[in-house]
Amino acid sequence: MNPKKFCFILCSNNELMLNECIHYIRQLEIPEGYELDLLTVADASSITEAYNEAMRESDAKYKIYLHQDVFILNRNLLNDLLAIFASDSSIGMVGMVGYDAISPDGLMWHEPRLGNLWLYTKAELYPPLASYRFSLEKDGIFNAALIDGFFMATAYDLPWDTEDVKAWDFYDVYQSITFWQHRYRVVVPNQKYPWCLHDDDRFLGLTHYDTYRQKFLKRYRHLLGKRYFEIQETAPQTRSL
Amino acid sequence: MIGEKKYTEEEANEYFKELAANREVIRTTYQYVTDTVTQALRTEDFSKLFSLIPYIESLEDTKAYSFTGRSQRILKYLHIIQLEYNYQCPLFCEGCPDADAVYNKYVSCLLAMRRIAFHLPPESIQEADSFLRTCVLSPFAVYMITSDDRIDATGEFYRHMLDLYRDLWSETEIQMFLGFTHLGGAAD
Repeated sequence: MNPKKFCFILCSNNELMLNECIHYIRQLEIPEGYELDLLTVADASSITEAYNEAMRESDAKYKIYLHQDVFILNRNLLNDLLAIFASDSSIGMVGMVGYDAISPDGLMWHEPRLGNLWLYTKAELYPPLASYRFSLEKDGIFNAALIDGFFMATAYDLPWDTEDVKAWDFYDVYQSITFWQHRYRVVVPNQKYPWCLHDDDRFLGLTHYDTYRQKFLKRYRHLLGKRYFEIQETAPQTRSL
Repeated sequence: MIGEKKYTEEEANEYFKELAANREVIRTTYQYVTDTVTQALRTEDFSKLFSLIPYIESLEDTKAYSFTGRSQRILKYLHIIQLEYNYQCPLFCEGCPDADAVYNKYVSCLLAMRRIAFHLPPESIQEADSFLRTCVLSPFAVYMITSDDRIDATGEFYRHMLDLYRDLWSETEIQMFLGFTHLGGAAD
């Protein structure tokens, strides 16, 4: 494992979006002494299988699983992630948007949102992007029961669940729970200016969503309604990998 | 918490049952729209093309519209083309053989304009400018693509776009653009 390396891992099926996403990645400030790598998986049938394969292939300590339609606006993102991970070695994963608890109906967005996402309607409330700098001390981070899968940065490799999660839904929920149950914190930075813009076309592809939601409800019924520390309470006392 | 809605599993189950029941309608609706755009482009039948505007707008309160997010962008480009047609400007869909091509052009233009709006480095913006110059967007296209589509379209951004197209737009087009964007006396 190379502790001085970041690797962006992306699944893609749209070259136009992927190329633009990568264009924004290439604008990032790379922390001194660190390397930046990129792995893309085209036309994967299962995001968890693709992520596991990419995770095994990369020796980067810091892996950022990113959707192809996400554009990173905070050019200091890599430095900011390092500051967050360095602040506490039990922080295992960082997201941009998260939720404090697991919704009783399994739909994560039905809980109050943590973090930030670029919204046209709130643009006037943001500070100027050119002068924005995240400060861990002043801005802080939130613990999140779950984070949204469009951006998931990890400092530890834990296998993605390929048993229950066979397509493109709920992988983020399962992985968030997995990290908490391995006693790693999952956090979201308090972003005065959103670090990312997610152009999901305002389209929620829910074709198979309910199939995986039902599996999730069956497996994690005991965690419904629980907050992050309650999920951690269900973890074994020692960390196992 | 007081006033905060708590969702139940039963409500979610109902939501997905309704989605499943409407799935075929959503698919065929979307297919109808894209097929009609393609046919209209190939035959240059603009009445047919513009007939989709009231059709899509009539879906606004239905699940078919809300579940097909792309419809919003399709509706936008239809409005753009209709305005250009009425004002006898070059059409946004020119050179596009089908619905996918128009949609991709829309997204490409939006991505290029985002680089400008979000102050990417000069080389990135230069690339975006070159691309947008080849597209020769109308004032309608610039304004409507950047309205409410996750882009920070400020006065500074609009001034940049005006400078980009100043030598390509007519005086009327420049004045229209100044009007849409409230840039006022920035013509010089």
